[in-house]
Order: sequence, then structure tokens, then C-alpha cells
Amino acid sequence: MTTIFSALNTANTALQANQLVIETIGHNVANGSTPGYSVQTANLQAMPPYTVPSMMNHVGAGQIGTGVRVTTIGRGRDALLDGQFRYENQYAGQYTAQNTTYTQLQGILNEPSTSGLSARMSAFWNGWQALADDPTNMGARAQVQQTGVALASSLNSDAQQLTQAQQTADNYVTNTVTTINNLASQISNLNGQISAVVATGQQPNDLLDQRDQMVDQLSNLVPITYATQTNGTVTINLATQVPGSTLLQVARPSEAPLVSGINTNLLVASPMGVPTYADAQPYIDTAVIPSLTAPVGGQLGAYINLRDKVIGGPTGLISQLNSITQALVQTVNTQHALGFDLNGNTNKPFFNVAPPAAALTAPWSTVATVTAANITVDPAIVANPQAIAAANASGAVGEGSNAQAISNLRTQVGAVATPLAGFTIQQGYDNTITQLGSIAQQVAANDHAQGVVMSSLTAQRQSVGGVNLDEQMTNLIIFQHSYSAAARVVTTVDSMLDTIINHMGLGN
Amino acid sequence: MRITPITLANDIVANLQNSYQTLSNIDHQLSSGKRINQSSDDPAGTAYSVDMQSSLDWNTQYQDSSTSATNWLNSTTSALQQLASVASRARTLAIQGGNDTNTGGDRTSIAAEVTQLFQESVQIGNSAYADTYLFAGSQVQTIPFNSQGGYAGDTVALTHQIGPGYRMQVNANATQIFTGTGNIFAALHALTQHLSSNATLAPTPNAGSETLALTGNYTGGAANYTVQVASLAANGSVASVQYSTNGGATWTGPVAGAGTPPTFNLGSGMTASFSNGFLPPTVGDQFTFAPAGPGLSQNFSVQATKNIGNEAVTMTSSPNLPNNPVIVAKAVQQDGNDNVVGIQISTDGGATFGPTVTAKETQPAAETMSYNATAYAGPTTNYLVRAAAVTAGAATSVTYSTNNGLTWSAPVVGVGGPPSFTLAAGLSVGFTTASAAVGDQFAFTATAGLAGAGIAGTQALAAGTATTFAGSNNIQLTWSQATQNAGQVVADADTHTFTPAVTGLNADVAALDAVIANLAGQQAQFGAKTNAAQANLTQMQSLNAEMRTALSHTLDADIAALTTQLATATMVYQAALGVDAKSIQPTLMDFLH
Repeated sequence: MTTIFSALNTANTALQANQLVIETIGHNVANGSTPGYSVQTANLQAMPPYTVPSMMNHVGAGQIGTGVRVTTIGRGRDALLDGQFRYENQYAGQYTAQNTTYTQLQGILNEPSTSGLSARMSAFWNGWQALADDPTNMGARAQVQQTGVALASSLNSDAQQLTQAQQTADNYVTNTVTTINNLASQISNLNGQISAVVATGQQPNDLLDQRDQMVDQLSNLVPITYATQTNGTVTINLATQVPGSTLLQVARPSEAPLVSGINTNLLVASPMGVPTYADAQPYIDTAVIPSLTAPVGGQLGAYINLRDKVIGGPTGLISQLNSITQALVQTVNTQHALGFDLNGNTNKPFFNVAPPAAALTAPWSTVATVTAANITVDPAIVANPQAIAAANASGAVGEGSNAQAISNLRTQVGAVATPLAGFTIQQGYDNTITQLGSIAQQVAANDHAQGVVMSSLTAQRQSVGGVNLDEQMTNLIIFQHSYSAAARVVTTVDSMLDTIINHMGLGN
Repeated sequence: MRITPITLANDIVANLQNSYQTLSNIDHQLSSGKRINQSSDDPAGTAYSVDMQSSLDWNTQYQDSSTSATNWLNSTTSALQQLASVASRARTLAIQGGNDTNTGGDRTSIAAEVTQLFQESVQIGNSAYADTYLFAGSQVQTIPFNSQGGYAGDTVALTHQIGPGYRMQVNANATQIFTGTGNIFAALHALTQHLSSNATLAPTPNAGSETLALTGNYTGGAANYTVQVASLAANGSVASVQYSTNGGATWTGPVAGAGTPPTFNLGSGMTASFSNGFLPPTVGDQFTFAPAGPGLSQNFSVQATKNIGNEAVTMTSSPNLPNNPVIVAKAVQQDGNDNVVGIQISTDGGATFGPTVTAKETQPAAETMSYNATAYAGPTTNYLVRAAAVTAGAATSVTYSTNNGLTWSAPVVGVGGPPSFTLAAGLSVGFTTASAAVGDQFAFTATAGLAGAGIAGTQALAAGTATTFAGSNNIQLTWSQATQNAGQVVADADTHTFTPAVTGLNADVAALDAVIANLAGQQAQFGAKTNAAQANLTQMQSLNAEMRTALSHTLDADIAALTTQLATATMVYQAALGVDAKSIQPTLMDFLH
């Protein structure tokens, strides 16, 4: 036998539960556009039923429901999607950084154009041929002098801008390390707060959202692996892409994780170096990953690669430009030294190096000290274009076959002992441009494709955890009506009680 | 899939971003006009276009070189044409100068014109194109020819590279046009010389070709008679003669002729008369004969034998010998080997002679002669002393001459040691060193009471040596003694007369013909080169057009296609904006009241 008051109690649970649901809806609507926010759902559950005791019949009408309660407030989150997102995110960070830098590098070399190195080189060779046709014309001599100066300046300028770009990449590495460290510290703080709440048996949805958001950001900067512990904390290890493997691999398993509970093991950046841990251990344990010395992936890996391989390093753009410069200086100087200037001087260089490097001396095939940054036209020629050796014999002032020979160097393939064996100087430069363009094209395509992947993953995450206002509104109406209905139940019971108390009885 | 407003917003942003990107790409290509704005737009196309642009630039430079080469070649051809007309004019003058009706004065003015032509050809040789001399080889800033036609340039070939591997020589080799053997300078020079003088003359060997007839009964004892024409009558016949019975050392006469035709009394009962031959008699004609007396009664017919020696003599002059001079050269000195070593030259037909010109003789071995004339009382005499026999480097006998070598004494044997040679009373000589050779010659003048220091000698020339004498007016005479008979006296005032006449003009015409042919060949060669350079230029221009087209295909934006794409992209973008505006705006809240 139940009492009429139990119905009131049941209605009361409904009022409370619906109110809570509406509050959750309100929270959702309020955070509809908060970054990293996951839609929260109040999970309703019927309260345990009450079995009406009976003396007469051990089986009565049955169990009577006692109302509803909110068991948990969950959040729309898919751990698998998160993992996928963060895996792809380090590629996104990598490709975006590469794309930006490659665009800048192409801007520096500026090809095809009428002002790039190729055009300058072309003008330089043509200047020599014009001189060959009219070796006593001071205008033609000045032309050779000026196109030589322009070519050298162009190389200087390219080298300087490339060095600047390399420095910029290094700055990015340092800044990225700083950001990684900040995020790690904040995540470790959140770990502490979350574990405290989890210890009470509750789920700190909003803290978790914040932490997930930070892990997302971190995954853009550097490849990471992470694991959620039973106490609610997350452990994060710094990882790297490994060539030949699609999985990220922890870069130094023996080192304490970047974030472990409330502890952090932060990175230290060094100028032009690969970041290390605070205890000076390198990022990569070569005993574990012998093929790498620096991380691959994320913005960090991208900028280190750009700095050390693409711009710097033995096969980088600066080195390639130096090789082209050395081939130019070697071939032109060797031929120029064979010729005679207007005053009968011979065995002089056309190109030289700017101080502090020691000036070049014979044999002119020795060009180890020449770089794109320090190449100049020989001061004697800058001072007086008469010093240009156009003739092939002393005193043969009207004879220009040496100038012609220098002009023809443009087709000389595989100059002896030059770094460009097998190519003309123009081809060597073409190769550099083509290679840069091809990679830039590929990187841009990668960046675009990765953007699509990221959009898709974001959409999927939104699908799970996003706030749909229509849906929330619908729910609001549903629970509003539930609330109204529950209130109606109270009113009805109240009316019943009124009937019983005021209108029932003999007195009436 | 569950869609949230953020999904929708992300989609919208992404799609609008894509549309923007497309618009930006199209806009970039349209505004720059280029399909490739950075190498990543089309890496292979970039390399191709950079390469093509470089080739195109080079090709353009080849065009410049071709133009420059064409200008050089045209300038050279033009100079060669002028030169050919100079040569042609000179040829006309050569023919005109050879005309016998010309007087010496006419030839002088023709020669002056040829000299002008020479200067003109020098000026042509100094032609310049764009401040560079065309015919200077590599010395393009140095005037190649001086006014005498001396060349300061070189033979370096100047080449222009007018195409890949196509090098063309643009300058001419001046030595093949101006200065070389048989070229215009030499031809004009020869012509000038021939017109103004004779370059090389053989003498008129004998003055007259008259014969001498002798009559009478010779009663004298002389072995040889020499008769010389001493003067001529107004009608050109012989007026007087002189004669010598000692080979011309002393003369008797002159003896005037008597009667008509005149006869000349030669003494000892012998008379002579002349009958004229092809050449008229001249003063100095000599006749030498051995009178067949005593009892001479027959007529002698004797050819004039003025030139006793039979040496050959030639004369050269260069270039300013006065027009038509008559040069007479007379041998006056000979050495012990019968070589003529001293001559005198007359430029007025033999009226007056200049001072004695001597041939250069070699110095003998270091040897000097001393002489002692302290007891000498004879007349002042020029002595020539000559080593006649030598033993172990020391002279053992000498001979001497007191008449400039015409006759020599019998050998004088040395006495004592070192040997002393007595030449005349009170005059003796000795040698200071012992390296003498036969023929060493020493000259001194003996005067009374003279005491002698050492004097250096001269070496007698080998028998038959040609000797050369330089006179004034650039005259040069060569005595060739090859046919000289040993011991024959030759330097007895033999005279050789040179009458300049215009010769060699035919050779000059032939030389100028060769010059003109050579110039025509050079012109043809340069004309062909000009054509080749121009053809090359045309080819380069059309190649350039092809390359530009190819480059344009690679590099240039396709405006029509891009405009169409732009329209499409704009449409898509606007449609997206419109749709998005509609789809974002309403939510369920708009419908709740």
C-alpha cells in the first residue's frame, strides 16, 4: 500500500531531475562556441522501484516507481578520435611550418623573374660576349664590370636572406620549445586538479575539456604519445616520426615523461641546436632510434629540419648556392687569368672574396674560401674596367677571344674539380630551383591535404562533442514539458489531497 | 552524422577559404600575366622557362654579335672597294706614264698623283669603324699605317661568335692587302720609282762606236798605242785626239785633225782617221792597238776600247733620283787583286766628277805597319804597300804602288830581323806583328823627313769580288768583277754612263692587275661573309620568335581560360556566401516564442 505522499515525492524527483537537465542544457548553450568544449549530457535513470509490502498477497500489483534521478553528467568525447586528431595534428603543424617557410624561400630566390640570379647570370655572360665583339669599348667593359657586380651582389643578397631565414627558423625552434614547456606546465597543473576531483568519484568535465584542448595544442607543436591514468591524470611523452614506420615512437624512453601527473620534464633550447632535456640528455636516444638525430614531425621537427637540412647543412640551399658560386669563380677566374687586359697584365682573377677572407691567389682553381656571401668582383676591376682581360695576347687590345671564351663558359659542362661536375652552372642553379619548387609544391599539397584531414576530424569530433543548438532547444522543450508535467502531477496530488482533506467526509 | 553549427561554420569557413584561394590564384596569374609566379607553381616549367630565358638572352646577344660582325664586314668591304678604285686609277696612270709622248715633267706630275694615291691607300688602310681601326689586327687603337706605309698593327684574327660554335673572322689581314709582296703599297711604290727614276740601270758601256783607221809608215818603237778622242767638232766628228805609248800614264797632244775628212798625225810617220759607226764619237773614246811597225803601211780598223776592263756595272737608286739625270761612274782605284775599290761619280754627263768614293774593305788581322822616312828626300807621294809573300805569319816581301794601285812594283825582299823593306831611297817599312797574310794593304803618304808610327792596314778583296759604292742622291753602284782577267789594269778611269729611261711600267701594270685581282678576291670573301652573317641574323631572329612562343606557352597565363575560371569562381563564391548567410541565420530559437 503506498501513500499519496509518495506520488508527491516522485513528482519532486522529476522536478529536480528536469531542472538539472535544463541547467545542463543552459551550460551547453552557454558554451556553444567555447573552443574545446564538449557537449555535456545529464544521464537520467529511474530510481529504484518500491515493492509494496502486503500481508495478503506476497505478490501485489507490482513494483511502484519512485521517480527519476540524474546519475552522471557525461561529456561527448571519443578517445579514439582524440588520438587520431592528435596524430594527424603533428603532421598539420609540420606541413604548415614547411609551407610557410618554403613560400618564403621561393620568394628569396625569386624565380622565374627578370631580376633573379638566373637573369643576372644571363646578363653577365652576355656582357662578356658584347665585350668580345668590341674589346676597346669602355662601355662594354663597364657593362661586364657592372653585370659582374650585380651577379655578385645578387649572390650576396640571396645568401644573406637565406641566412636570415635560417635564423628565423632557429627562432621558431626556440619559441616552440617555450610554448611546449608552457603547455606542459599547465597540463601538469590541470592533472593535479583533475586527480583531486576524480578522487571524490566525480568527473570534472570542464577541466578535462581544458586539458584536452592543451594536449591538442601540444600535439600541433611536437609529436607526442600520451596515456590517461586511472587517477585521471595524463602522461605525455615526447615522440618522433620514424622513417619507415607510420607509428610515432617515444624519442627517449629512458627519460622521464614531459608530463607525468603533476611533474614535468621540460625541454631546453640551444641556439642552432636540437632541444635537450634539462639534464642535457638529447631529445632522441640514438640507441633506440639510430636513424635520427632530431625529431621529425610537428612544428618543432619541421623548423629544425628547415634550419639544418633545407636551408643549412651540407645539402641545404646555402651550400648549393655556395657550390654554384665556387663553380662560377673557379671557371671564370681560371679563364680570365689566361687573358690579357688593356695594359698587358695577365694571370689576374675576375672574382675575388670580400674581407675578412684572404684574397684569392693563383692557382685560380682553389676556391674553398669562396661563398655566396663573400663573392665580389676583384677590386682592381671595380677600380678600372681596363683590367678586364679580354684579349688572348699581350697588347692585342682589339682582340676579344678570351672574353668570348668566358662567355662560352656558360655551356661548359663539368668544369674540372668544380663542385658541379656534370652540369653547367646554369643547370646547377636550375636543379636547385627545380628541387626547391618541387618540394614546395609537394609541401603545399601536403599542407592542403592535411587541412582537409584536420577538417574532417574536427567535423567528426564536433559530431560527437559539438553543441547543436536546435538539438538543445528541442531537449529544452522536452524537459520543460517534463518539468511542467511533473508540476502538474504535484498540482493534481495537491488537488487530491484537497479533496481528501477538505471535501471528503461526513461533515460536508 | 550529427551536424552542429560549429561543424557548419567550419565547413563554411573552409569552403570560403578555398574559394578565396582559387580567386587569389586566378587574380595573381591575371595581374602578373604569368602562369608561373613561383617555382612551386610548376617546378619543371620553371626550370624550362629559366633555361629558355637564358637561351633567349644568349640568342639575342648572338644577334647583337651578328649585327656588329655585319658592320665590320660592311666597313671592310667598303674600304676594299675604295682601295680597288685606287689600284684601278694607278693602273691607268701606269699605262699613261709608259706613253712615249710624255716628257720627264709629265711623268713627274703623274708620279706626284701616284704618290697621292699612295697616301690615299694609306688613309684607307687607316679606316676605322666605331673607333677601332679595321686593318690593325688586334691593335685597334693604334693607327696602323704611317705615311710611308709602315705597319704598326699585327696579323691577329678578330672573331665574332655569331652562333653556337659559329665563329667568324671579321677583320682583314692587312699584310694580305696592303703590305705584303705584290700588294698595293709595293705596287704603287714601284710605280712611283719607275716614273721618277730608274731603279736599276745597266750602263751604256761604250761611248762611241766609231772605228779608227791607221795609215802611214810607223817608225817608232812603242809596243802599244792608246788613242783617245780629245774634242769633237760642231758636226759631231772628231776634232782632236791625244795619244799615249805607256798605257795612258802620259799623253801626247791633243793633236788637231787636218784635211777633210780630218786625219791626225800620231807621230813616227803614223796618221789616223775615224769612220763613224752606229754611235757618234764622244770625248774619251779610246782605241788601243799594237802598231805593226816599222813599215806600217796598211789601214787599221780598231773598235773603240775605252773600257779596258770588262767588268759589269749596275746602278740602283731609290727613290728620289732627279728625273733623267745622266750618271757617269769612273773607276779610279783598284786593289792588288784588280778589284775596283774607288770610283768617282758625275751627275752632269761626265763634265765634273765628285770626290773618290771607296768601297768598304775588311780589316786585316791585327797588324800595323811602321815606316821610316827620316832620310827620304823624294817628292810627297801616296804609297800603297802590300804584303806579297808571307812565311809563318810574317811578310817576307812586299810590293808597293805610287799610283793608287794601278801598277805595282816588283817584290821587295825584307832585310834583317824583323825584316825591313826598302821602298825608295831613305824610305823603309816594317811590320809590328807577325800575323800577316798575303794581300794585307797599308796606305800612307811619304814626305821628306817623315818618321812613322804604326798604321793599320786593309785587307785586299779576293779576286773577282763585287764592290758596291754609295753616291749622293741615293745612287748605288755595284762593280761586278767576275769576268776580270787577273793582272789587267781596270781602274784607269774606266767610265760607265747611265742614261735613265722609263722602264718597268709594264711590270707595274701587271703588278697592279694582280693587286686588283687580289682585292676583288678579298671583296668577294667579305661579301660572302656579310651574307652569311646576315643570314645568320635572320635565322637567329626567327629562332628567337620560336623561342619566345615556346616560353610564352610555358610561362604566360591563359587569359581567356583564367577569365572564364574567374567568372566561375566568383559565381561559386557568391553563391556560397548567399547560401551560408541563409543557413547560418535561422536556428530553432528564431521559431520559438
